[in-house]
Amino acid sequence: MKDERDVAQDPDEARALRALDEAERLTPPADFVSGVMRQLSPKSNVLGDRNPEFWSPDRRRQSSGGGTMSSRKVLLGIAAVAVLAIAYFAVTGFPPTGPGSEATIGAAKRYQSEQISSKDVVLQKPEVQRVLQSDSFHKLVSNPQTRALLASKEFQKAMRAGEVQALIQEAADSADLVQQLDGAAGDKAVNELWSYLETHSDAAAELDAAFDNAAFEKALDAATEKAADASASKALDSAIKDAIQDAGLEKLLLAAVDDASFAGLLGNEAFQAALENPAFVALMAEASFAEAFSDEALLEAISDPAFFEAVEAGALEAAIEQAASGAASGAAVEKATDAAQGKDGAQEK
Amino acid sequence: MVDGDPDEALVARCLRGEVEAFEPLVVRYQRVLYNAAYRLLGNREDARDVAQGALVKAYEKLSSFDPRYRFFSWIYRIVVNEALNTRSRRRPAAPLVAELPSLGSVEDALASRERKDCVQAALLQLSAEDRELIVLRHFAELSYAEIGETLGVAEKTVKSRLHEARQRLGRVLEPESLQ
Repeated sequence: MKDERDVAQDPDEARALRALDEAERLTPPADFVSGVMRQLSPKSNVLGDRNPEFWSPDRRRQSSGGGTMSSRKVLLGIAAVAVLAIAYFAVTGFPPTGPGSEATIGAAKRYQSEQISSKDVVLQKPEVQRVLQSDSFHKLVSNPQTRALLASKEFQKAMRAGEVQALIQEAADSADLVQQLDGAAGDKAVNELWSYLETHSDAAAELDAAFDNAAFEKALDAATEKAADASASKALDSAIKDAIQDAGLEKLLLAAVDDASFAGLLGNEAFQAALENPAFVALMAEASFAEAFSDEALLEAISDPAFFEAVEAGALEAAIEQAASGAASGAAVEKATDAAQGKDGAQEK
Repeated sequence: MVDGDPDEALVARCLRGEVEAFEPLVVRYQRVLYNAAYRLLGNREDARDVAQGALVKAYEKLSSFDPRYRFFSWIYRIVVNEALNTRSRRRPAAPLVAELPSLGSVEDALASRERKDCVQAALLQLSAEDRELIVLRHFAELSYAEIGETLGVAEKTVKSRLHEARQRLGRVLEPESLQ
């Protein structure tokens, strides 16, 4: 709904306004609606991992502390868990591989020995060539765990999401986010908090409930927005003390939020937006994905729009599968590259 | 009454598995999305494909919609992205204004006194950013604040950029004033 008038400030603008007022408004084709509805599957799990209550209109209209209740605290709750998951795996390493993993590792070694050389693949786009032939990319697909991650539906799904692409690109463009992730993952207090939550299921539930507390949310908002502000930090400490009954959890949480990286990460809008994607949340618990974020070259590789395009085309998945079978071929990567080049040509002016 | 339900209620029902709850949303926004896609692409067939495709994609990604924001803003962004992708894929092989006379398209349109085609031809000569602003304001009929929310820029910025975009559109249309 328009709430302002468009007033021309000069003859050019007046001419444009007149023409726009007279321009035709088209009527959509008669089968427009049915054409859309035919393509929708009633069995689609559009909810993902979300709690249906979060989406109810009642919840959206709920208010707390005079303000509209937002999804922020839900995100913060997820963020805390996700970050802690990263911290946990970053410290403890990959989950141990089970029996039979030798074959997978063997396949990976074969793949390494058959690493694609620059002469195997004719690439027309230097950026994509750099991505797919970089040491980082080879390292990525040579690691069975990482390769499994890349081939997973969760990864493919997450990489197709605009908000996740935006986060990855922001991480590639700005060192702040990476530093925050690294900082949180390496922070002793954050890791101690994670260990405590892992062994005290009641504490995890209590922490989740705390994020649902208006005063706690408000204090956390202030603290993440004013990291260097002593009064905001003090208010958050006070809110934690009020919201958390578990003395052990309270102590650990106070220590964890004192880490600027952890607090900053919680306040990062791109991170919050990406966390709206359940597939991304699932990815966050993967050590290999966390590692990707902390590897500058790799982050640069996966932040390339051509990489997203290759994922979208499903061609990258094919290349990964080839790698997993120990028979990675230039054709598979070339296919991924070709898919990317479809966009490449379009991007060039 | 389903048709009168607010967007967020319909979205919530979709998320509970009621696919039919999406239909009122399609009905509600089909006209504006189709027109926006047409003004961005200049081709009715592409506009239909893009608008329909965007709605299907929106349904499939409904769980990523943030209910703090307007549903239209979200779905409009999807339409714009789809339109840009369509244009990018086609650019090397096909002209953008496939439905319109190729330039001097403006002069041709003026000569035939088809002002509607003239506006479209002129719009397609603007940058994507200018065209998007004008489409949002004059074809999607969003307020400055809503445009700002949709594009992620300040309302003040919307006003100034829109003014400049219309000036440029007016200059492209200048032969009309000489008639």
